Amino acid sequence: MEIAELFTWIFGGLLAISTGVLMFTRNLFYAAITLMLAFLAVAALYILYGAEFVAISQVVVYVGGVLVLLIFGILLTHRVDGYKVEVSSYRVIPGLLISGSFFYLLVNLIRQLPEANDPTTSGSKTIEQIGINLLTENILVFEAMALLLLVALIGAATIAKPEQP
Amino acid sequence: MITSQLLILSAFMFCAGLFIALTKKNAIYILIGIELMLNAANINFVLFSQNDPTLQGQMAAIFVMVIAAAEMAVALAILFKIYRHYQTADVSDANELKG
Repeated sequence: MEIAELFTWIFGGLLAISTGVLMFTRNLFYAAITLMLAFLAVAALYILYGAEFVAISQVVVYVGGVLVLLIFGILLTHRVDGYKVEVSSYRVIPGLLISGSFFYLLVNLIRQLPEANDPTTSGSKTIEQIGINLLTENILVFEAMALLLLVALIGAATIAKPEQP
Repeated sequence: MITSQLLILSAFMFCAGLFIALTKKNAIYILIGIELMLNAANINFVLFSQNDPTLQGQMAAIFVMVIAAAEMAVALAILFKIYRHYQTADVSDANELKG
């Protein structure tokens, strides 16, 4: 139990540091790489909290899919040969005010939560239970997700295709 | 005890994503902020499902991931179209309808 808590602190600290770097870096490519670090730390936290299947999906979907899409997006919309990919920001003070006050509200809400029990789900049965859930209780959502992915991919290809002259 | 600290961490992550989505000009950076917010929500789902033997929270986290991937594909397609039209990826420059 002690070692799990230590690792939770380590990966939580990694997540906090990389989120802080993401907020204030100006280089877009550094931001993408830091986002990968944040995704991996989140996957480690999932494993520590008994969600192995979600952690594996996190690594496969986010680090393997979404992040590669993002880097492709950076390469296709910027000149990257020898230039730094810099981004500028605006409305920094109102943004800080809005997100800071929202953070204050959320922390106040979390402090009022009742104390949680010790976690009871052990890791051994999670994947089995998720498979059973997907094919019995959540079968409608599962099929809708499959259809949504198909529609999204065809729609993305249709939007991005060059215009006919 | 440590669960509430992780809840505060995910709240911080959500607010950082909100800050990024509000203040950055580049469209890809805004997408990074949105991904951060979705991940913070996923952390909460997983944390609250650790006392639930039916694991409905983890199911919700998986569905959020699928929707995030689909959203990313469509958003980048729209971004390429904007870049081809305006020659920039800044959202503050794309300010015309049917321009």
